[in-house]
Amino acid sequence: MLRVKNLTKVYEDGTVALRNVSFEVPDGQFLAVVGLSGSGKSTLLRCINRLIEPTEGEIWWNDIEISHVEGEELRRVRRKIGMIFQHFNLVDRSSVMRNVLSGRLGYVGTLASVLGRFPHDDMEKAYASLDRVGIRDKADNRADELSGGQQQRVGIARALMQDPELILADEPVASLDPVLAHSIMGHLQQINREDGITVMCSLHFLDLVQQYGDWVIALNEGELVFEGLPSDIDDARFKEIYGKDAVRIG
Amino acid sequence: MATNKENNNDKKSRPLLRALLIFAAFIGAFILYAYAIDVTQINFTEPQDPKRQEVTTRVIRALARPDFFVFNEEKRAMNVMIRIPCEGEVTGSQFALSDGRTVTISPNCADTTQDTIVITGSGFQPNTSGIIRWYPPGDTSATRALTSFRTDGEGNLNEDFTMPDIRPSEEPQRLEIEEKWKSGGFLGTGIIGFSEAVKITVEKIIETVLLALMATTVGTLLAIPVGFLAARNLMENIGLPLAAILSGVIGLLIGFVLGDNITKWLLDLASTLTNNTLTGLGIAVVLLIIIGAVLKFAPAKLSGEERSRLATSIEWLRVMFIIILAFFIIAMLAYMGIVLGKSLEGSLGWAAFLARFISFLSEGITVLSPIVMGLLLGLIGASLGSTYGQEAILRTNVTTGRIITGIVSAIGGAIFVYGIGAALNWLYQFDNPERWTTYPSLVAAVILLVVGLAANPKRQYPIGMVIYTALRSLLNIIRSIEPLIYVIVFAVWVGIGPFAGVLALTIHTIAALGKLYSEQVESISEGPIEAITATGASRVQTVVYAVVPQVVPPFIAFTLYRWDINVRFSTVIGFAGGGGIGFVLVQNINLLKYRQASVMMISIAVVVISLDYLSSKIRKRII
Ligand SMILES: Nc1ncnc2c1ncn2[C@@H]1O[C@H](COP(=O)(O)OP(=O)(O)OP(=O)(O)O)[C@@H](O)[C@H]1O
Ligand SMILES: [Mg+2]
Repeated sequence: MLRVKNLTKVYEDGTVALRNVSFEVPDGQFLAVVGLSGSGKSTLLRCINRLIEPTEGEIWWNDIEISHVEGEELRRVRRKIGMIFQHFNLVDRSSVMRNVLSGRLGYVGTLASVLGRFPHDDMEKAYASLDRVGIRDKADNRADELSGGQQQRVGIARALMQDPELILADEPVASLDPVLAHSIMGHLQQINREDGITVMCSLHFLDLVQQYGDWVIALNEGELVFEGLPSDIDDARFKEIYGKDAVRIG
Repeated sequence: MATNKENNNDKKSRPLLRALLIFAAFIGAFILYAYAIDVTQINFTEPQDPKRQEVTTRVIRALARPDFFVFNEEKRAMNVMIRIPCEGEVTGSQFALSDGRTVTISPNCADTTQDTIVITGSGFQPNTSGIIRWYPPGDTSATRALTSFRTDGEGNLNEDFTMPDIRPSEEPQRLEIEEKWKSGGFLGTGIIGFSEAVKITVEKIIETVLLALMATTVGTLLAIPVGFLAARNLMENIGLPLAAILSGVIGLLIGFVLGDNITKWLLDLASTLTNNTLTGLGIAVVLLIIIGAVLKFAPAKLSGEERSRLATSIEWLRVMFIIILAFFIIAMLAYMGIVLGKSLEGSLGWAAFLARFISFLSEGITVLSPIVMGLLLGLIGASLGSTYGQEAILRTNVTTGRIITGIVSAIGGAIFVYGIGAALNWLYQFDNPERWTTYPSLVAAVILLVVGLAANPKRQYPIGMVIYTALRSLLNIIRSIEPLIYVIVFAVWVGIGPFAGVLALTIHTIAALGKLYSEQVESISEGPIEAITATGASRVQTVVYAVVPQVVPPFIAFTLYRWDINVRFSTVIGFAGGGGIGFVLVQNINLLKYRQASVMMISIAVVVISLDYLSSKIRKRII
């Protein structure tokens, strides 16, 4: 269970990216986060795993308040939260295998990982994860030799290595074509349904939201303007979220 | 309206102001250049001075004829007679030799130093240079050169000259016409070998390139950690509570003292055990077997979510045990190596340098390892200290946190101030250790105790930016001084020669590469860092997994580039006593041996150009 209470983020330059945002995500939910560009979706997701320091508010995760944990405890929190990025954020020059194994770094001792020695179980797990996203045969390729869709699958495999309880996906399909988008969203859905992993996914296209989301929250200029079922977004709500001049397509 | 008027005013006053500014700039530039030319003594008189021009011409001509080869020269002389002064009728005379050389001298006598004498001849070596000498009467060993000549394609000779001096005698006086030509040797060019200058140049240019290689290697190794620590993006968000920072200082000290002393003790033990080589070897083998056993029978359990504290500690102990044993073996081998190297040196002949290398490596291990181990354990101590300091503060309540912070800060601050005081005391010879170390550190301890108790123990201090700023400033200072200046200092320490050059270039390389590396780290893409951080990786893991792969190719490219620059530097570093080709070059110039100096200059050009080409080729391949 993830509970966000009165979360506010003000960047150093004074930009208020999140304004008093509160919501809850029950375990196993597929939560879609929508909103215009610049509405604060990425900021919200990054506050949860503390890639960005929240300015005010609380984040409760499995009954611990994680908005101020530091050091070893922060690492323990982070390793249970996988993250998937719009631009994949793979290490281009490393092999696919090494990229996937890096998802395990929160569990492996510093010395062993610096020497590149991962336990046998982790290697097995890495192959299994790659298998799951269907690119086991690419394990030894360099990451930048893969196509966009394949790279995002490596990203998913890397997140799976963390044995996550929550996956944060920041516009995971925005750089992919529609066919690939559905394939990647399908993988996320499968992980959500089969493993019971909570997924919090920011999306641009409402049809994806309606197809994959159990629940939607919408941000507008950092404020939570809507919370409900995907099917509840009718034309009026749509204009509330995206502004008066927005036209609904698709 | 008002604004309009102001605008108009502006427009009017601006051209005038601009004209005035331009005029002032002109006057300023005029004065600046007038003074600059005066100060730098640029003038037209000196370059036009005929004497200077003559000397310069000679130097340039010498430089244009580099002394590359030793030639096989053959020569052949023919005598003709001349009367001084003239007696009776003035005519020419003819001389002939059986080999076909004939010479006419006309007139065959001279009265004054103005009389032009013409020598024509045939049957000489075609296209050959030679010299005409005069044997003045009386002193038979003294000769004077009259003129040099060159024969034409048919072997004819036509030369006129005047006598430089009139020394009357009864007997006719002898003129000698000597031809000199190169023969035999390589393809008939007369070349029979390389000159001494070439031999020295080859030896010294190798020294130069290797000097640059050593400086680049050592400099690179030291510049890599500097590069990461001086990268803003890695350092800027490192903030630690006061207790963590100062327990880091304590850890550093404890680690250093431990590392240094343990290593010295191990070295002593190794030295005693290797008094007898056979025992030494035996012990080494036994230790190796023990290491193998430890590796084999206690398999690594390095990961696993439920990794217990005990298991982690055992794992660490195991690693430490192996490292210590391995070091001990190396130390024993080093002591044996010193003996071995010394005994081999005599019997290896030209490869004696290999034996010296064994001795060098062994000695290096025994001399450097205490300090290296000290620094290494110091770093580990600092990192452990700051981690545990931070965890202690995070896990305890505020009051306990304050007490911990107070105590740790007092001790750490005292150590820090004591260290700085001791350094100042040594540098300026205050000879008053109490005033410079004991009292200030006590004062620091009290202040920090109070601060530690009073301040919020969880407050973060931007230690990363402090290290970053300090390191960057240091790099900039070091880099701003040229290696040519460092070499003067190092020549005092280790004597004039290539070693001083290596040290000077190394210092500069660390600073220059450290800066390039850190800028490279700053320019990598942030995405992977973000992603790896999000997996729960520690800072070290993030650097190894997200940063290192991105910077390896540019680091290699920069290193090659630096080697290139170091070769250039090392050609001149000899001017200031740093060994290499520069040293002999400047010697030859001082002795006015320009033809030899020319060989060295050419060799520098060849080496620099070819390395430039080579390194750019390799760099292109890598990126
Ligand atoms: N590092 C930063 N410093 C200052 N302002 C920032 C920073 N990052 C984001 N912002 C601002 O915060 C606001 C929210 O940005 P955010 O990236 O969270 O939006 P988003 O909803 O993810 O947009 P997009 O759909 O384009 O990714 C924007 O106005 C943005 O300009
Ligand atoms: Mg975004």
